Amino acid sequence: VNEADYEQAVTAHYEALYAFGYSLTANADEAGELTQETYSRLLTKGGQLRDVSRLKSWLFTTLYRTFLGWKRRQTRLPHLEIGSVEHELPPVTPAQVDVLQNETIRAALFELEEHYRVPLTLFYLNENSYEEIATILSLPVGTVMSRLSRAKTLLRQRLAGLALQQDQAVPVSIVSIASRNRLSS
Amino acid sequence: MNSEEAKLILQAYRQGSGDELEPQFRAALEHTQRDPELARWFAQEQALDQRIGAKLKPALAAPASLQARLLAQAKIIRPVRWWQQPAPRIALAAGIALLLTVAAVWFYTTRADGFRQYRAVMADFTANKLDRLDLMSRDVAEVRRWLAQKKAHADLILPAGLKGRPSLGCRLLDWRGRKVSLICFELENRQVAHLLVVDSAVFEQSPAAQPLFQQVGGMQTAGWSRGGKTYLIASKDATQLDLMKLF
Repeated sequence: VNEADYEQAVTAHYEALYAFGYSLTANADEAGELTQETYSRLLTKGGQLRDVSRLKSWLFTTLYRTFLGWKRRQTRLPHLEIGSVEHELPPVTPAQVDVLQNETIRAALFELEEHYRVPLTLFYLNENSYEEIATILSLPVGTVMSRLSRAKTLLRQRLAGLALQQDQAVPVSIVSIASRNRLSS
Repeated sequence: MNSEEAKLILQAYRQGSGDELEPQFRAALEHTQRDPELARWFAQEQALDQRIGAKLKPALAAPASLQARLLAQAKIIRPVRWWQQPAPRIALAAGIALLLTVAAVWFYTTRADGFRQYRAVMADFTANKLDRLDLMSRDVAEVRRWLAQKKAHADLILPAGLKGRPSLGCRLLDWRGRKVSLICFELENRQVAHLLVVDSAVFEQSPAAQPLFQQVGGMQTAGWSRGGKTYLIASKDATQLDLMKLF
């Protein structure tokens, strides 16, 4: 990869890669490091990339595999406790989403289990086709679709709970999500 | 396709992404025109996705400094060549050891200029072999702290033109058993200059206090000594005039 190609690859994709990394690690610093490591691999191993049209997919796949490598070592990433799923909440509405803070939605995303969070993030980033997402995650397209469907349901349930808390003038805190049982009963 | 199957597919639909070109999405979208209830559900689904996506993207936005950091990385990281791969490394190391022995004998018997050797090796290293940094940081103070922790040269007397310039990071090297601090600086116009610092005592004759400018291969260099340390700047991007302006 020559310098001009590298610069183009950075300019075109670094924001989406960072966002993907952020959704994986739930940590801004580690997302930056993960993005940097991905581009570092492009510089050192980019020669392995035979088809330039697959660059974006290669970057996402490399970032995801690097993340999995970090996770295997279990030295860097925080363990995320997953809250219990609420089934009895009414579905969240667009108007309720409008009043939620960006950070609240991000925190709700971070609460999802990784195998739901990852396809959901790629869905919202809207950078890859489903075939590419399946390649990045080494999953069949059908599995990506079904995980995405489940992930959307889970995220909206969390958002519904947060919107309900907000409606009841209870300070919104993602860590207090466990209290939703009491609020909704 | 029934409405439930259509829902599962439409949940994954992203407007304007090219999804509509896929046959399964096309079929599900056509289904919404025949089923008003499904159409209502789909409109609500799209409205929610649009709102959640619009809030999520800025919440996951990259910091302003990241792009500059990534672009700077290309200036200092070189591709790993085949001889740097693990398998040929051992054989190559044995060969290099033999060559170094021969070179050392040659060097000491011919009493070659130690600094010229050092300058040539370091210029080649920074031009072609610098594949990583031990620490990546834009903060020179952090780089100095890190070097001090490693008991490497950290109390540097920088030329005026490098003071206040951001660093890209640093790496520890070795020259004949002495530690060499390598610090990468970003100059104006995103030029990169590598500053190498070693004990002057490692050379039989170290350079003078006035910088000596020399082109070595494709690199412009400047070497000088001060306070018992020998400094070398090597840069592929900068001209000799650029280096002169640093002093």
